[in-house]
Amino acid sequence: MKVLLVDDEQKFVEALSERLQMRDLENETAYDGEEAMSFVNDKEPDVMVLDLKMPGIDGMEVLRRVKKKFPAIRVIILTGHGTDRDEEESRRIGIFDYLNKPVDIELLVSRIKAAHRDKIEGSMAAAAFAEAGVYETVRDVMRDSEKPESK
Amino acid sequence: MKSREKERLREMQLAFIGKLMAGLSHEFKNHLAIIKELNGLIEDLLILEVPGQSVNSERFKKIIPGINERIAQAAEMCRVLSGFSHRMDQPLSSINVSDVLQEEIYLLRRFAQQKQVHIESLFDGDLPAIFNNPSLLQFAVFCVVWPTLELLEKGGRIVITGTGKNQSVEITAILEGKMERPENDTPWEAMLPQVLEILGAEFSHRINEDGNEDVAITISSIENSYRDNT
Repeated sequence: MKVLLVDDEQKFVEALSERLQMRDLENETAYDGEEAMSFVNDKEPDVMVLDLKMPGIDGMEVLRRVKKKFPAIRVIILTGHGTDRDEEESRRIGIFDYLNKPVDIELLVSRIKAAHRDKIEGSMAAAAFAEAGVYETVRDVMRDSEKPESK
Repeated sequence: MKSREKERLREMQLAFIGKLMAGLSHEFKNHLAIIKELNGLIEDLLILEVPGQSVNSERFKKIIPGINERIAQAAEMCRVLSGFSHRMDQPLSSINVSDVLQEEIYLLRRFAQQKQVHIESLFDGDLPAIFNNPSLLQFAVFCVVWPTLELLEKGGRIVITGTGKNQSVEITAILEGKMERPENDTPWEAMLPQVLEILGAEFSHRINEDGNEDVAITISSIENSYRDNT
């Protein structure tokens, strides 16, 4: 499983990263939105733990870009800035979970594992659909619906 | 001052306090999160220890100062917050403009960091004490700085200076960097003339040749007869 931790608080990420490794969750870290996007483009993690408030490209923008380009990546928001509006917006874009700082490490571990399971199940379902030819059918229907109506 | 204007001013002041408090609570949660993770890391390392043989003592020596540092930062935040809250205890008091504004700049700094804008202060050491409304002065400076902070692009700079002039203090916000001001004033800017009138302060705004802006507020002691307006 590839996990990416994204937070501008370096000490927080370093400690969290080490604690997750002690629990057999290998992970990589990024300290701002730009670095996170670069990692995602290169290595496409399975699960991303993402802070919302960061300098530069903030977490919400990272989430938008990730879900647009790599919808299969499961994103867990971990933030100290827990406004209802932020949570609502991030759920609308498509997150796996929304957690508030400070978080219990065992809760975070269980949510990361659940997110990974969800991703695998999602891939298997997509594969099964493809095998049954459903994927192609759905894709063709969607393509047809996107075509401009002929006059 | 009409009651509707008073009500509007009160609403805007509450919004100003709310914005700073929201930023502060986020920062405070960050400190707590770091303390929790570092503390958790020590716990995890302790579990791995063999009784009687501390193999991680060097790690502990590195982790513990990180916890202390965050506790000190959180305590400093509480100290500033307490000072900021008590500014509202009395509508009028003798104030050190430097202390009052340094406090506000401290609270604004995290917003500036998020925007990757640099904010700093430069106050003369011998500013005259002013008898005026400290909370309203902070609000006036916020009305100048906040809209700029929202507009300035990455790499922008805001410098707040304070200079003594006879028995007055000239507070200047030097606003440097790329920004596109909207045609209409923000609600904060629209509120400013009213606030300055209550403070009995003078205002000037200059756009320099390089596009940077200087906004100056000159404040002096206010007569007690203004008390009813505040």
